[in-house]
Amino acid sequence: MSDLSRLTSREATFITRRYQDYPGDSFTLERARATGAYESLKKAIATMTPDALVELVKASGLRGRGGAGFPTGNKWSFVPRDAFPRYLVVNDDEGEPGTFKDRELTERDPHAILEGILIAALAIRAERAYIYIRGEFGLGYRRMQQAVDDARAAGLVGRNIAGTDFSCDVFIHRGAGAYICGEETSLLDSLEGYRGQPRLRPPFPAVKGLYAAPTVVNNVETLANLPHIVAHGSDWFRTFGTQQSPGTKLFSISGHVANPGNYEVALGTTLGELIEVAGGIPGGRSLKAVIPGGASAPWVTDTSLPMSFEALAAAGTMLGSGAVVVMDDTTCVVRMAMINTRFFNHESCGKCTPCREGTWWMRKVLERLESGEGRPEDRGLLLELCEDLLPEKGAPASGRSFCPLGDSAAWSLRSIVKIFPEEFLAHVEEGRCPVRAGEEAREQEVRA
Amino acid sequence: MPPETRDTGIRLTINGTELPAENGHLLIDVAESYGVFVPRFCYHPGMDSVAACRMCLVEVEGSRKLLPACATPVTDGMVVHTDSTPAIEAQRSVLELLLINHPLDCPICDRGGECPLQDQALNFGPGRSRYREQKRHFKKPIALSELVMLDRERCVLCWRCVRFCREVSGDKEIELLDRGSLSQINRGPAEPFDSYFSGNTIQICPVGALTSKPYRFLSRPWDLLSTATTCSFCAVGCPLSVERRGDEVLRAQALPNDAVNSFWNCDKGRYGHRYVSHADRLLAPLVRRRATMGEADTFEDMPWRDVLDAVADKLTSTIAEHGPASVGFIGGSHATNEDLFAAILLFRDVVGTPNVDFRTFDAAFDYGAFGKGGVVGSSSQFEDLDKAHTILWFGPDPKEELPVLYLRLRHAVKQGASLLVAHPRRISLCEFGTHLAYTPGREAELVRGLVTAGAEIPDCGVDRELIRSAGHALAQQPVVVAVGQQSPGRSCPGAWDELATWARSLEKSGRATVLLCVPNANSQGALDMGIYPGLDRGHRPAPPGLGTLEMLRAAVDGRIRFLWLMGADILSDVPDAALAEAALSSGAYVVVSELFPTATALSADVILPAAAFAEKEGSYTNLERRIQKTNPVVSAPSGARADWHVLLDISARLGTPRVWTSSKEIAAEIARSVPTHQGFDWELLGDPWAPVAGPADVPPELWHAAGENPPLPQYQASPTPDDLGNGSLRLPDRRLTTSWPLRWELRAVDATRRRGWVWPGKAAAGPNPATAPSTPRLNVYEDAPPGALFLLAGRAIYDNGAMVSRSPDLGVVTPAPFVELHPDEAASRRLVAGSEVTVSSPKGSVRVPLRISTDTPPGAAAVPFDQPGMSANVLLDSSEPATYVTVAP
Ligand SMILES: Cc1cc2nc3c(=O)[nH]c(=O)nc-3n(C[C@H](O)[C@H](O)[C@H](O)COP(=O)(O)O)c2cc1C
Ligand code: SF4
Ligand code: SF4
Ligand code: SF4
Ligand code: FES
Repeated sequence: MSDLSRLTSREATFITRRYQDYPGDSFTLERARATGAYESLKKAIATMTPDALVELVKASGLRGRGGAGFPTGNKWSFVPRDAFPRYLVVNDDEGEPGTFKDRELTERDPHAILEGILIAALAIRAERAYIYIRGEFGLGYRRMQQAVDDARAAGLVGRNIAGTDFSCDVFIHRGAGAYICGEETSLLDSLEGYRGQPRLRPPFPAVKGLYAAPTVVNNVETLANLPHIVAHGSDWFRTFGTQQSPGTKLFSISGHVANPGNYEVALGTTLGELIEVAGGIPGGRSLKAVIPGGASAPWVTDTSLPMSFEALAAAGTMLGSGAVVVMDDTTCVVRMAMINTRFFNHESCGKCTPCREGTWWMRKVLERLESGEGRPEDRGLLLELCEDLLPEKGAPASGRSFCPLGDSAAWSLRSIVKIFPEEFLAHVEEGRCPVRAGEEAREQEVRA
Repeated sequence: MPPETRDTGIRLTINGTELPAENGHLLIDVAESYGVFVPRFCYHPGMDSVAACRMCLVEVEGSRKLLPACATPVTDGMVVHTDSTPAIEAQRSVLELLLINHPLDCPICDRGGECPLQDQALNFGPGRSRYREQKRHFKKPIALSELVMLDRERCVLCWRCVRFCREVSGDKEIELLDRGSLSQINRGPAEPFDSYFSGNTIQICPVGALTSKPYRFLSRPWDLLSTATTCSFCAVGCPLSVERRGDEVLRAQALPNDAVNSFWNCDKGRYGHRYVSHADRLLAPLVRRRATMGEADTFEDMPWRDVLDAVADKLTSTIAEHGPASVGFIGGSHATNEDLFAAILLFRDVVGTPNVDFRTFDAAFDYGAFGKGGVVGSSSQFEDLDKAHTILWFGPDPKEELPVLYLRLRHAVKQGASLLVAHPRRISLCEFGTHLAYTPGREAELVRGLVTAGAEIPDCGVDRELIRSAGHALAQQPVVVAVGQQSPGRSCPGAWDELATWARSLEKSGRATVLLCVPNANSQGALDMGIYPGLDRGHRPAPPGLGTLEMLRAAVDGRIRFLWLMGADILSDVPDAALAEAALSSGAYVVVSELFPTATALSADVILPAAAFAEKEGSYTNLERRIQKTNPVVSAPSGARADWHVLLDISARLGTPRVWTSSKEIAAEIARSVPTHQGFDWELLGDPWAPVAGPADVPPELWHAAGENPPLPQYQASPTPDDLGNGSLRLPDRRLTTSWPLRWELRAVDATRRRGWVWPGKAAAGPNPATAPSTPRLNVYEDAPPGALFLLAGRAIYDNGAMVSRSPDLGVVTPAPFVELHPDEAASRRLVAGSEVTVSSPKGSVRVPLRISTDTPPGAAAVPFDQPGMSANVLLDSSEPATYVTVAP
């Protein structure tokens, strides 16, 4: 227990510090400034060139927190040297099922995000930043807007920030409820007023993004790390986490844990520790499976896995957005698979054939299976369909779909079918859900 | 081209063979040019790649995923497999997925038999489906417009139709709605898909989702016989495949030609040609019987021989009594070069009259101004537009009058050309061009401003700065100056002279080329064949003669005693109805050769039934001087005869027999005796059905040589998925016989084979005394009577012309007449939109509904030239350079 509290102690965390300490008013400009906000920005403006900032972030090893884990400094350095204007686009469209950490950051520490935005804008020499905020975020939107307004009034956003030559204006755009608009090129199309659908790459956004200008898209959590890196340096940052995944990460833990919620822990913390941090599995149940990185990530059952980009990749899954969904033995995996696939089918943008039609087909089969109308060939068929969308030998993002959404649908489903073959068969053979049947029997026993 | 002679740059390996290619070209095109057909749905060579359907996935060594060939540029050393196991598995899977929600109602689908989905499913698909669930359902079919039906269940969501509207036509009327598996193509509830180019979406739809309302269920494709020909409407001259069953034209489709239309045509060209089988067609020669005592005249059938004798006698006696100059000929802008050559032979050589003119609604436009000392014709070709820095458009609204040229202009602007649009109204081009909205009537002033690059700017209503910056743009080469009649009936003496002189001087210095925007399918051919006053065959000078309007006036005066009207409906087309009527009732002997009993024909003494486009062989010359073949598709009504034939018969009766027995022989004579057309040869015009040729080493069965009849696709048995399981995969034979629609989209099409022949454009030097040069008459506008509005007439794409009004499919889309006023003018007259108003000129008046729009400038009233129920020519006065009207409740 004391070991666990060490994981989330003051010394081990920094991103959530402000709102952990001042839960009542962490989102206000006064509180934020009183706790050091915008000091890093001023330091960066006063003492660092854009190139030095990029180098600092490269050295810190910060990796994108939006899902792909791409090294942030490298991404910045892809922006062509002499093309202006250029834009920073902030991905606050958090749509990955099970993920709710960007929302918490937005609602509770918008100034940390804003400071990060300005630092990133300084680094890539952008004079405009757009925050694409998930449409469903009501409070988050209001707090973010308030933060921008207050910062602007305080001379921290807009022309000549803090009296320096650096200018950057920040605009907020609310999404309209499509998961695919979290994908960066769809986000850009949506921001431009088009139907949100992924764009053909190349050209990559860093070269031709928003309005065909060089654009960097960063996740809000990624940006919230920047003030700390600027304040304390890359070596300090690397004292958290692992060699390849430095820093801490906000994990959204949900499902069968005693205290679901967001937890900031160092990257590399094991899955088991993380579950314990969230209070463990209640009711004496045992663990059945975990989704380690959002609905797109293949499931795992091994709780000794370190939660780092590299360890999860090596285990054939991914850290993704850091959404950990814990399932105990009362979970029907077929039903979970159905819900998952229904999500992907519902959120498929419809652009490409494999994803649009493949997720429809998988969903139809899973819905049938779940309602007890499975056929013996269904399990094999599901694996074949996964193979059609994402050939087995392929790594993630090597599928046949246009963008990773279609690949993810197959990637996660395949893991479920492979880990629990008997449960799929049992659904077919019994014509009903064996887990639910067992549960009902047990309930009756208890009642008797 | 054989591989070794290709212009290269890089080498890549496709399916084990190393091949040269040009860096950056799309893999799908490069493979295709070597006879390797990569299956596709969303890719279309006329539009940007979207890589959405994933049908074209191929294996590229070194890439961790399969790549869409349609969005992958070739690079040096690239090693590609289009037929490896991963590629084939992907193609099969995508096809199976595309079919799971496809209704497979091929037996009742119009596309069945010529369907890229059918053909590619058979050639690249798995052969059977594992799908056993409910399919997605939509209400089927729904009407997107009066011409286009949509069956959303059949749609494979390739986006081609939507992309066409976004990228090519700019009519953003259909969109992809909803998302994911429920995505559908549709339109806004209150916005019909009334693009002038809507039919192209049907042609490029790779399934039977978009179908043509007029053609639906009329035929199966294998019952259709296709003939390649050239559109008979406007001077763009789009290559066309006209398709018949039995002796009836059922459908027309665009044929590709990079030089002319890329892949597109307009809905008039696509849907308009069924006029040829309209019940109104004249079936026998008719001769007027003058009635006695107040009864109406009647027409009597007469055998051809007798009618020709009678006409020849009348012609002979007229010449004898009144001299050759009492004979006149008008028309021919829709006739073939060969018809026109026979006409000029009769009238200039045999009769000896200088009075010949093809102009009708453009009778007031001075083409001669553009031919001083050279040919009266374009020095540009359409392809020059794509390379132009600046295009000055000083013509009509091309979207209405030269529709596919509008698409080319749009494309040129996308390529980076800057477009200056000189027009008093806000026309279609203003959406992507800079509008030089000059005050109606002040062409001459604007021209002066442009010509002097802003040094001298008489007041023309256009901002000085705008003219100066236009002058700057025009100083950047290359420039294309496009000119044509903007408003029928409007003459602007001198303005065209000045513009022409300027343009020709730029031309001489190599800075500009000129596009002379003649209106009709063979207006240019008529100029070439000498059907213009003062201009003989090959643009040689001829003795001065009367033009159309002058001939009509001379008929009224009694100086013209014999008038031959060839397809010229002067009552509705000449921009002075009163004059036409007076001429027809002047007592001059009038012979009309026509398809239909038009009002003009019914005023004639003799009506000769003519064979129509699609019933005879010949050639048309488009506005770039490109000569293209027209071919017979169906047989002419038994009593109708080709014009050239009739004209030669009359020549023979006048003592000049000719030995030519076919229009082909006339074509040979044109080549022999018309200086500009030396080297003209029908064989050069290309065979549109020529094999869709790849390089010499491509097996011929791959690119089917097509006869007149599209061959039925041949299918290979394709391995079933089971073959994949046991490790002994048999690769399918990649030799695909592509389906008919797909073949038309192949880049490997050797376009030169149907490019036609552009005559060289050099002519005998010497002045063209078409019209005497006149000094620009400035300030016409000041002459406006108080309260009067300058009348701007403009032709609409679908009008009340003899052909369009008899096209059974276009009636529903033909707009009703209207008059359009600027809101200020409407307000000052207390007129409300939609109400009936009276438009009056000194010549006549019409009652039409009012439209209010800022497209029309203050001080002007805009009307369509000839719509059902209203003809603007009753208002027009051809003796005045401009017509002023009043508009009252
Ligand atoms: C289907 C799909 C959905 C995504 N949704 C999100 C999202 O909700 N939020 C997010 O930050 N990134 C999301 N991403 C990742 C973004 O495309 C992008 O990689 C990220 O915003 C980059 O920021 P980072 O480098 O700071 O992580 C999504 C990607 C895909 C393919
Ligand atoms: S995989 Fe294809 S259909 Fe699915 S979201 Fe991406 S682009 Fe759209
Ligand atoms: S209607 Fe036809 S062209 Fe349009 S998206 Fe569907 S299949 Fe493609
Ligand atoms: S643009 Fe002219 S030539 Fe082309 S199809 Fe239309 S009417 Fe015919
Ligand atoms: S993805 Fe290449 S043809 Fe559709």
